Amino acid sequence: MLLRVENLSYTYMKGTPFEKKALDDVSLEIEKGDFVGIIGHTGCGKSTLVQHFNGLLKPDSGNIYINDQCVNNSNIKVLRKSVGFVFQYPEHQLFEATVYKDIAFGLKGEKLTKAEERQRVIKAATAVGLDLSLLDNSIYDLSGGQKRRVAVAGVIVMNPDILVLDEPAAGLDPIGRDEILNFIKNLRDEYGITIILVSHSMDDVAKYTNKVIVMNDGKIEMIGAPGKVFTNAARLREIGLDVPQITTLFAKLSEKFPEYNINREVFTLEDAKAALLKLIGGEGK
Amino acid sequence: MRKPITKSLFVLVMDDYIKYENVSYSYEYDYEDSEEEELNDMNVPRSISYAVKNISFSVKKGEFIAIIGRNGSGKSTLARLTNALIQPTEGKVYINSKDTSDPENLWNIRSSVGMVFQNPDNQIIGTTVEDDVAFGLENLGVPSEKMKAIIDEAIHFVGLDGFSEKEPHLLSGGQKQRVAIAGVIAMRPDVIILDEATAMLDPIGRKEVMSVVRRLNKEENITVLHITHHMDEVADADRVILIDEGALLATGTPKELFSQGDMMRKAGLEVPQITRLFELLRESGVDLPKDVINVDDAVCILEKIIEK
Repeated sequence: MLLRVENLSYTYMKGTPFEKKALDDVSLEIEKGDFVGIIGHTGCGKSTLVQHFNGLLKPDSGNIYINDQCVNNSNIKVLRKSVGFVFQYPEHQLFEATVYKDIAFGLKGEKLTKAEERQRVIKAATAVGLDLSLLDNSIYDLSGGQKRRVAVAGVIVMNPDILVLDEPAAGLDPIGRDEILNFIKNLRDEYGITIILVSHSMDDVAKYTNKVIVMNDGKIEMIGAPGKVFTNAARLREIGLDVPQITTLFAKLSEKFPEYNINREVFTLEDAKAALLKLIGGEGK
Repeated sequence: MRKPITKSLFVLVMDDYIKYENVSYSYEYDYEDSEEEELNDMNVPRSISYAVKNISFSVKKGEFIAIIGRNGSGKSTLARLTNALIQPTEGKVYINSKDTSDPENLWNIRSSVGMVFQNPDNQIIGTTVEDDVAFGLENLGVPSEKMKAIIDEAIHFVGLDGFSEKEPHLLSGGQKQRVAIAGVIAMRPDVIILDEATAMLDPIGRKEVMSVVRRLNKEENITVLHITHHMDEVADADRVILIDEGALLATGTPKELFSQGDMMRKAGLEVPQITRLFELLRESGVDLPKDVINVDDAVCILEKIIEK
């Protein structure tokens, strides 16, 4: 198991009037090659949870295992190395003079030769689909989408096993969203990086992930394949989340026509089209 | 692709609260003036890039308008032109028949057109919710005995009763945006512009903000210009303005625009999932209407077909 969390609990500002239990006995497992979506409304604990994955926060109680090795104060560096973290609006964190220097910044401690460094930077830039002719440009010459790619490249240049992204598509138009999520999917498919995506968008989670973790009030509410999770539409709405329009459509149709045995686990356009064609074409007319 | 709808509006000039006449705007214009001589010397051909190109449209009082377009298409420039933060390079913008490029009108226009920005953390300055809402009123010199009632009313309207003494940084994103809206309402504007004000919020926060905005529009007859990438919010608007590369591409009802999937995608946008599903089914030869944008309508239509 690549990443295992056992009975994790965390309380902010313990012993003050602002004390708040953010995580309450959370356990989960993430396998190599997973594309995991973590969803939940603001304040449900999802950011607190992922900040434990690379040791930004340390648990009050419970354990985190990387490759079955328990993480503690003496080996927390392992955790920080294996889990890369891309924050919200990562383009605000670029600061070096050129694209190349910004991507290479994290490598400073690694004592690489110039040639090795260049190789790593080029590999990372290629992985995020960045045009290599931009490497010597100032970061201020880039578009918003390009800046986001540079920020991600600066993280994966460290060769993490897991990449955590907090709302990587926030504020982008629909095409920009698809672009960024497609290259993230590519990081998984081509480079074998396990992806953990923190998102508010049920549509994105439905489209890209193979495992969904729904958080509510510091606890894990549901965990499983997107199709299974989205069938609990009523409960998801109760905890402040939405389900994809298509899933709602199929839930309503299956209520109206119980005799047709309509599959409720439909959440992509292609599946929906096939299911409806069968329904209308076959038994309908 | 341009819809003929603007034509009929131009006839009713009296009703137009916001009016754009052939408006263009370039962020480079200021530089161009000072460097003109130098540029001519070097024989460099002059080419200015425009953020907004020759846009004309008008908005009636009380309309709820959604403005959509990809990142960098000119939406925010449009917002800033509307409350006279910037003035057109060419053409005219009129707010309630007042020209935004006349310096005498500036304060009048800015006080009647309120604006809420994207990032909740960048627009709150007060140390408590009521201080923040009071900020604009203090600048106007409203006497403090009158101020209290106005502030309480604004806070009540956005559903934050009991939060007056709270510190803004302890609020959720949706609550912070509602504080920002309360600050705008306290100024009694005729128009409120939301410049991607829901972009950084979660689904609950978005719903909170949208329900306040809809009530402002319906109950107080405040004109709303809502800039957004969320197509479910667009579906609520009376009318949609689609811009791309600074130019007005189309205007019409949400159904009219969403039924033109190809145009929307060319402009870097998407149609709602349901509309797209019906599009795909039509391509497979199923006879379905183009303008279905919500789940309930879709269920009704499919129900009839299945029951046949």
